[in-house]
Order: sequence, then C-alpha cells, then structure tokens
Amino acid sequence: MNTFRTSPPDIHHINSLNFEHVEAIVLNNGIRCYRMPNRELGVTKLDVLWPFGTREQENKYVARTSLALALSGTDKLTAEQINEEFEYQGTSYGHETQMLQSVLHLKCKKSAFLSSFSFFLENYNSAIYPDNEIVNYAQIEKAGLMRKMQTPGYWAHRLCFESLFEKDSPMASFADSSDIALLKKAHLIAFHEQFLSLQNATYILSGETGDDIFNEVKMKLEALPRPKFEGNPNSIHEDYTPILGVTISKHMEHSHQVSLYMGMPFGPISETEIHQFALLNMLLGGFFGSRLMQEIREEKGLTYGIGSYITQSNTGNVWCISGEMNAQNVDLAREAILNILTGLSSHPPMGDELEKAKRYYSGQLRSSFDGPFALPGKIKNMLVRGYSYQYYDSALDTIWKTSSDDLCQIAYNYLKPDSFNTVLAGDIRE
Amino acid sequence: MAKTENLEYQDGFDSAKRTFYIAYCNKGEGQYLCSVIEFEKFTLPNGLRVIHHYDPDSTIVILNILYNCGARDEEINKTGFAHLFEHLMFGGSLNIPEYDVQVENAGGSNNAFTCNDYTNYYITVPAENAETAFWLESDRMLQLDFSQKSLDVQRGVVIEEFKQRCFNAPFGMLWHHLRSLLYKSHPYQWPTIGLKLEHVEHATLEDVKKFYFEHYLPENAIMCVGGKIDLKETIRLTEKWFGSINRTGAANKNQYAAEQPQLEKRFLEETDLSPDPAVFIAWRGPKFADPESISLELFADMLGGSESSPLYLELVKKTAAFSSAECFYMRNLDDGVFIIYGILNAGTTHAEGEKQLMDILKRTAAGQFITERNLEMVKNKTSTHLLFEHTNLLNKAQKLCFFENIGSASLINREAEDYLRPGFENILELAATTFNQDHASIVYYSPKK
Repeated sequence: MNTFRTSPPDIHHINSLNFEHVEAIVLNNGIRCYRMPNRELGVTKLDVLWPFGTREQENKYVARTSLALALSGTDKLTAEQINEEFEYQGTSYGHETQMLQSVLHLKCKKSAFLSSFSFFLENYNSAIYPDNEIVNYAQIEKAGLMRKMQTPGYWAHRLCFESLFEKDSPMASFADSSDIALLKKAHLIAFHEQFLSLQNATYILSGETGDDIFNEVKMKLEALPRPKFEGNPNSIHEDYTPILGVTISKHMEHSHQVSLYMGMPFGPISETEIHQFALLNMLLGGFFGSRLMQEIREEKGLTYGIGSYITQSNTGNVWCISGEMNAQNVDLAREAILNILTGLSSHPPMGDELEKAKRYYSGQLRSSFDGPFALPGKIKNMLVRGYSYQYYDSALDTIWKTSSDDLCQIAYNYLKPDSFNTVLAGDIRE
Repeated sequence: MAKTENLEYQDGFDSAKRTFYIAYCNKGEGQYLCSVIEFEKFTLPNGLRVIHHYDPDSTIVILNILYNCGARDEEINKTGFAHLFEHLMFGGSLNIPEYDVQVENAGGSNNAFTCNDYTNYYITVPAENAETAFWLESDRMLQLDFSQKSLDVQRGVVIEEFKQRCFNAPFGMLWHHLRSLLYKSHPYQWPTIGLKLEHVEHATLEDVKKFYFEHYLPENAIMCVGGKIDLKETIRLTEKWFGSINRTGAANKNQYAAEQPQLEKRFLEETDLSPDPAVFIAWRGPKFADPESISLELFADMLGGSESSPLYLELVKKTAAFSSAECFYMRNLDDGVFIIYGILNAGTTHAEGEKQLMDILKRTAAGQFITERNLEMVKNKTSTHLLFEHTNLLNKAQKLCFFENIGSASLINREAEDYLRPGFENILELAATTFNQDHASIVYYSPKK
C-alpha cells in the first residue's frame, strides 16, 4: 500500500465566484439588453426573457401555447417555411414557459446571427396563430399529457401541489386534456399581445457578442415601441390557508413502484437568506452526501433517487421531498424521512457535516459560472426573482458565515414534519 | 479568428493557450465553420492514455475517464453488470473509504454513465482542488474496496432504477423488445440496465470482482484532463497518482459475436403503459467507423429531424393518423440501429400505421419529399450543433476520450467535416437499399387494459 495515498491533498476554500463583467443597458425606448463578455467561439446565443408565465394566464395552457406557436405562421409565411429558413441558416430555437417567466432562445453561428435575429423579429411580431397549427399542437400535447399521466411521479407531484394551493392558483394549475381542447386562437393572440410582445422582453446576448452584433441588435430593438410594463410585475398574490399534514394515496393499476412526494409551503425569504435555506436543503436532500441520500439510498438501499428541493411559489416557497420506491419500502422510507426532518433541529448539522456542505455548495456555485453560456442563466434568475447583484456577491460570504445555530433556527421555524402534505402514488394496494 | 486554408489536424499544444480556434473547412462548394480543439496526448508506462486539454477561461478542472468496457462485455446470463459495477465504483476504494465525501469536500461533483460500448466516469472540481480529483480517480483504479454491504445496497438501488425506468414509464421496455429482435448473437441484444432483474438480483461479490479485475485496468482506460490546468502540472499529477498503478492484464480486444444479415421480418406484439398504441420499425445499420453511418444519420435527420421534415408534416400534420412520428439513427461502435416510429391516434390500426411509416420512408428514400436543400439544412444544423457542443468543457473531455477509444482523439477535429462529406444522391441510394420491409424488426404496442 502506498501510504501517501491515505491522506488527501490540501483542499482550498472557494472564496470567489467568476462573475465576469456583464454590460447592461436600457435602450432609449426602455427595453433592457444585456451583453455577456465576448468570446471567439463562432456561435452566438440570444435569450429573450419575459417576466411572465403561467401565473398570468386565465386559461390553462395559454401561456405555454402562446409562446410555442409564436413562430408558427404569419400572413406571408407558413410554419414550415419559417422552420426551414431557420434550419437553412443552421439556427435552432427553443422555448420554455414556467410560472414566473417565459424564455425563447436562438442559437446561431455567429455569421448567421444577424439574419436569424431579423427573421425572428419580423415573424414573431406578425404571428397569426393559424387554426391548423393550434389543432395540431393540441393533439400532440394531449397525447403527451396522457402518457405523462401514466407515471406515478406525475400524480404524486400534482396531487401534492393541488393539496397545498387553491384550485385556480398558478401553483396548482395542472392541465387536463379537456383544458387543451379549449385552447382558442383569441386567447393566444391576447396573451401574446399583452405579455409576450417583443417590447416586453429583456434581451441577453452571449457567446460571440462583438460590437458588430451588439450594435445591430440595439438598433433593431430601439425601433420597437416602449414596453407596456416596467420592471418586474410581481403583483399577483393569493391568500389561502391549506390543510397541512394530510396524506393522499392514489393507486395506479400497472405500477411497480410508489412515488412519494412531500411538500410544505412557507413564506417569502430575502435574497440574502436564500443561501442559508439552500444550505440547509442541501444537508437535508440536496446532494449525494445529504442525510436523505445517505440514510435512505446509500445506507438502506430503499430508493434509486431521493432528494429535496425548494421551489418558488407565487406567494413564497415550497419545501419538497420526493423519491420512488418499492411498495414494501414505503413505510420504512417515510419513517426515515420524518426522523431526518426532526433531526435537523434536534441534531443540527455541525462539524465535518456542515463544513462539507459549505465546501460543496461553494464549489458548485463557482462551477455554475463556468462556460460561456452560464452567465445568462444567472442574469435571468436575478431578473425574474427581482434580485440584485448582491444575491451572488454576498453568496459565498453568507455560506461561510452560516453557523449550526443558524441552520437549527431555520429548521425549527420552517421545517415542520407535521406540516408536510404527503402523496403516495403508484402501487398502493391497501 | 484564425483562418486556415487547409486544415491539418495535429495533436499539438498551442502555446497561445487558447481553448480552440475557429477555422473554415473547405468542402465541396461551400465553406463551413468548424472549431479546432487543441490537446496534448501522452501514455504512462502502465498503459494509461492521457489527453490534456487546456481552457484558460475555465475555473474548473475535469477528469473524465473512459473504461473500454460496457454492457457488450457481459455474459448473457449475467447482464446489467457493467451498470451495476458503475454504481459500486462510488462505494469506496482501497485507501479512500468514502469517495463522495472527498469529492464534496473539494467542492466538486461527479457522475458516470454506462452504455453498451463503454463506461464513462467524470469528476469536476474547482481548479484550486484539482489534485483531489487525481487522488480519488487513481485510487479507485488502483483497487476498489469490495464489500458485501456495498453490493447489497447498490443492488437494491439498481433494482429500483430498473423498475423506475423500465416498468413505470411508457415504452420503458422498448429497448429490451427491439434489441431482442435486432440482435441474435451480438451482446447488443440486451440493454445496459440488464436483460432481467434476476441477473442483478443474483450478482455475487465474486462476479463483480471478476469484472473489475478483468476490465478496470490502466491500459483499458483513457483519461482526459481538461480545464484550467496546464500540461506540466497535468503530467506531474498524473505521474504522481497514476504512475504507480501496476495492475496488468489484457486490454479489451473488443471482439464480439458477429450478427448475420437479417433476411426475415421479425415481429413482436406487446402491451404497454402508453394510453395510445404505437408502432416501432427498426433495422441494423453500419458501425460508427463506417462513413455510411453518418449518411444514415443525415437521412434520418432529413426524414424526421424537425417540424418541417416529411415524417412530421405528412403523418402528424396532414393526416392526423399519428400524434407523433420520429426517426433517428443510433451510431454504435458495432452495428447501429435505424428506428422509425409513430404513436397512433384513435382510428389508426397498427397495420395502417406500419404501412404509412414504410410508405413515407420509401418515398423519401426515393427523393420524393426532399431535395439537396434539405441536406444543406441538416448539415448546417449539425455544424452549428457541433460548435455549441465544443463550448462545453465536459462535452469536449468526453468526446476526446471517445474518439481516442475508437482510434485517435484527433478525430474530434474531423467530425464536422465528416458530416459535410456525404452527397445527396449517395444518401438516397443507401437509404433505398437499407429499408427493406421484409427484413425489418417491428414492435406493436397496445395499451394495457
């Protein structure tokens, strides 16, 4: 045995993030534009971000469909022609709709960027939402949803959130196939005009972002009218008190496992507190060395995956725990989870356990800034959640200063085992 | 931007210390952008091949290790081992009982994947803590700490993974079904998760030890060290930590039972969780190293790669017979697979669905729905995709190892050009001879009652 192998190499604390300078400008018409550092990569990416999502929709599926079909036809071009032109330029575009945001991105060769960008602006603004495209989209979405509904994980998540939020809350806004059938062209156009117009968006440029590109982008955006909304319109609130501590079961005939999902809502927290909550979550079930992962998967082999995370709601946050397991293991796993939750305040993380989580968190945070397309994600996160640069600037300091007592206090105040609603979906024979 | 008239690929280290540069590949009439990834290569006396790729803009270091053993190296009555073993690799090694604890202490992360052809492990750490990655990876190459407890726990985990992926998801058993039809001799006949749950359930400590000592050898591994670490330091740390590993054995010769040409139609009818019926049709195709495998990939992309391709326009949009229809070519180191499939809407029978899929395939192969412009489109898309892929450090490290495993890491710099080479007529000619309905493997799925 080589004795030098038994002791680890020196480990250095991570005390700085690689948050490079980002150029942020507000154009004459009020549109915001961000330019990431220029890198000679041969490719340019544009993220178009709207701080609007499913929270704003009155009819389920409208926000998502409105964005998905925004490049599906104009008076001059069909969906196929638009797709073909992008493809011929070697450009791909994608989109994503969440509760608080909608994002469309263009990924282009640098040489094709300006023509793709112009083509995008022209066609996005002239979207007519052809009837055949809506019918086709609805049919595909419906089939996809029906398949998703065959999985225990879908129902465990859905039933948990439906138990925590009011029926019409954006947090419990799970669509059924009947909702998809009700999609109307007028709703899509109205949502597009009110929320997803080009002037309501923020533009984030990354990759090759030289002056030739940036100046042209600014010029084209300045030709747009003024935004209809200024800043982040986080104005929708709800006042609803759910019944907590309940258990819901859903048996699914052909399932071979049980999906367990637990959720507990808690109020808003400040941008500096978030890192402490995230650290506690990490210790609970946010990484391989977490208590949930070690005890339930690595020690007892009860699940393939088990973890916890915090998801933002329109009024605050939800602490979630989820995992899929054999039916015979459910009681053991539940008991272990509840013990771990209780243990976070009675036996708070300290010493090596806490130190390891801090090191892991700081290392991961640093790594998350790596690569030419990492920064746009950080900017989007800040814009959508209304955070300042302080959110990242103070992150490492907050992490390293967090004490065992701090975490114990958060666990005691916020992580209440009795307040989690639990859903078991799948092979529930009893 | 550097511009060269004729690209010459060399395994040379660029003193300008740039990640890669952009050059023009001259092919045919057009010019296409492609990136040139620079790297250095060296081999330790114990056989470990090392690739170094410097990225000064990065703040991290990645160690990616490819072991030349995958599910195709398993025995037919002991399948799922390569994957089970991948799990055991995190259970601690001779001098380091808790692998993950040390990764996390260094602020790093790690993961792995197993495929039929090989198994790939990677660890990412902040550049300041690069040596920890060398320490950890070398120790588990030196010797794993086998324990019955670790095996028992990971067996349980893998069984749950098997159930989650295969039994609890629509079309979760697809690869079991298709592979059993497509391959009769070659070990591609089972998926990496394993042919049967029982194989994993019955795995013994002796079985896994045998697998390790046979395959996890320095000379059966390729390591890429990428990120903010220079060549000198890479050599120093590699020699320090990996140089003393003296385990010897035979490098994998990758010899497997050859498949005979499929001269008959093979058919399977199954029930599935999917609420809609579906038809999958597949053929075996050329190996990765065969340029025709790229031609079939480009053909698949023209036929069904986007919402403006004929498969989608004709079968989903115009006829509404399918709620989705797609196709792709999966390039393997041995025989690849071309798959075309459709999920049927109410009113379309399996037989009708099969007929329509075959019809569109044949007509497209005859040049009915596509032109040279479609080929240009998919080539443009692919070259953009490769440029984006090369902006990601982990992607680069994994691809460098992959290409080294099949011959030379420098192939990474020929990849874009390889995709530009096939001509339209040649692709159609190949497609016309490949998709014989009488030699197809077909699976019909109906919803479980």
